[in-house]
Amino acid sequence: MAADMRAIQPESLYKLHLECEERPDGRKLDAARTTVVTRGGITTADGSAFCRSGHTSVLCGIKAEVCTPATDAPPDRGWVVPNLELPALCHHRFRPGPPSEAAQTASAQLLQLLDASGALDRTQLCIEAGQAVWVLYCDLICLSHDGNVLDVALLALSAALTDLRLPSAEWDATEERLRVKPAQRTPLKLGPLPLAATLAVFDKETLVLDPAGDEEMLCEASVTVAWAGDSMVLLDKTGGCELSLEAMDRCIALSKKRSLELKKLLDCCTQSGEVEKGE
Amino acid sequence: MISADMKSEEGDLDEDAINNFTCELGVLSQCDGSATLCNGLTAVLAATFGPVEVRQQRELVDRSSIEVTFRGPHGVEGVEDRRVEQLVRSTLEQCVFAALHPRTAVSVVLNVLETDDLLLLSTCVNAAVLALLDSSLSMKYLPAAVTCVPVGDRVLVNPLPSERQGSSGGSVTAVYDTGSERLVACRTAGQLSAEQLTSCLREARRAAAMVRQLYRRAVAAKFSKEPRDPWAGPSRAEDMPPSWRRLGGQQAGEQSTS
Repeated sequence: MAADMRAIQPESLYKLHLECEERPDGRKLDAARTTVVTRGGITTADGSAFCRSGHTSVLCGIKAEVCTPATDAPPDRGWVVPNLELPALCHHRFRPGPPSEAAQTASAQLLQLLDASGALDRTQLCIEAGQAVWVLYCDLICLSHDGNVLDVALLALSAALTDLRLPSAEWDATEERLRVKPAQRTPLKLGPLPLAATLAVFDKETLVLDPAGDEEMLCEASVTVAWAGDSMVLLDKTGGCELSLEAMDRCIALSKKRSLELKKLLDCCTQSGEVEKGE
Repeated sequence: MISADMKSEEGDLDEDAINNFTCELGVLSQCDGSATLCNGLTAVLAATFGPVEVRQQRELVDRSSIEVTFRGPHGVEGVEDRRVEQLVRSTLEQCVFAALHPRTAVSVVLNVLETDDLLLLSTCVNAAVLALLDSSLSMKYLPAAVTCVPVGDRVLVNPLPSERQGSSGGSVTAVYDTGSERLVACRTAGQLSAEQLTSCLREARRAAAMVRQLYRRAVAAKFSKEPRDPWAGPSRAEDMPPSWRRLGGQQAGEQSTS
């Protein structure tokens, strides 16, 4: 019966669920899916992390390369290039080919979040001003897309940054060449990392944390709020129904709570370096 | 061309939010609707076509598909441009009566003439709405975008670069439905505290009502003009490209110099 209704009238079925304040997967409205963070899975990358939230999983690998800073760029700053891929394997909605608009906007958002949070002081990526700086290519691949990819991707990126160990490099001024020692590696000094929480809006007022794929398709609007420590680094509500400011205030409070949970998860993962679970 | 200097009939509204605005509707002759909007140092030219034939991939059976093309000031396309397009498109999808024109497309082209980056997003949204107003496409409501910057404990609305001294780099761009005063879209940049965001959102809601006055005056100015043949081209010789000027001069019976 429920299966028939899900196929024919998914919206009505979901409204029934909301009336009971329980979602189809058994969660409460303000509960997130079980989130798992694993760091350092890819040995060939300089830093890596794998994050899974429900059936959404994102793998992040960071590769550090040396380049000469461009003439119009600050000479003592390196670069961070996050790139989220939504390949055809992650969901039937995506087709092979050039990056979709969703992937492009998410990549731009990740870069904006990193810059706004000030988590990474890019002068740390300078080896010799004007001669050599590090470029961090952060490649994120979505392996399975079941809603809320940006939050999971950002968590993976933050975790991979804590896992990153840069090889020590020195600029030899007399020979004008770079000496890199891949065996000696040091971690970066990181500020408060950005962590995001997305809420889906139903019936103009009801807020649902961490929407799954089906919920994302059915919802009227979605709001993403990201925090770095105590300051908000992103509030993004693009499209969907209009919201009252009171609903917006509740979004901010709920997302703050979720970001604290994620921070706790990231902290224990940083200490032990092993798999950790959190609600 | 209208500017905020013109006094509105409503009179006494404090209009700091739109002091630096100038706009003009119907600046292009070959599209269904067009508008230029200058906001301080940012200028955007918007043109709309539609409802027109839709590419089969994008065809929607129950409504019109809205396409937004954004051309940045540098010519090179980047991922940031996609984000501007995304915000403008999703805002228009909400406010246009798309269900009136199923299996068609409405295309909006935004061309940046000048930009100071901060006000680009709100100017793009407002220019697109003005162009749609000019094309007389039915809309449920008029969205109005405002950019707010918190400086100290004050909130500046649509500030010029010289006015934003001392800001911490955070800014909020909010799009309001000017009828119901509910938030349609919002995007922040830089770091903000929760209190700063709340005060910015409330300030933006107040300023959005002023942007609605701008829309009202723009339409009033358009209809107060003498009706002009859209095929006639620019009315003054100095507005014409040189090649047109020569043709126009000969037609008008002026002395040919050749």
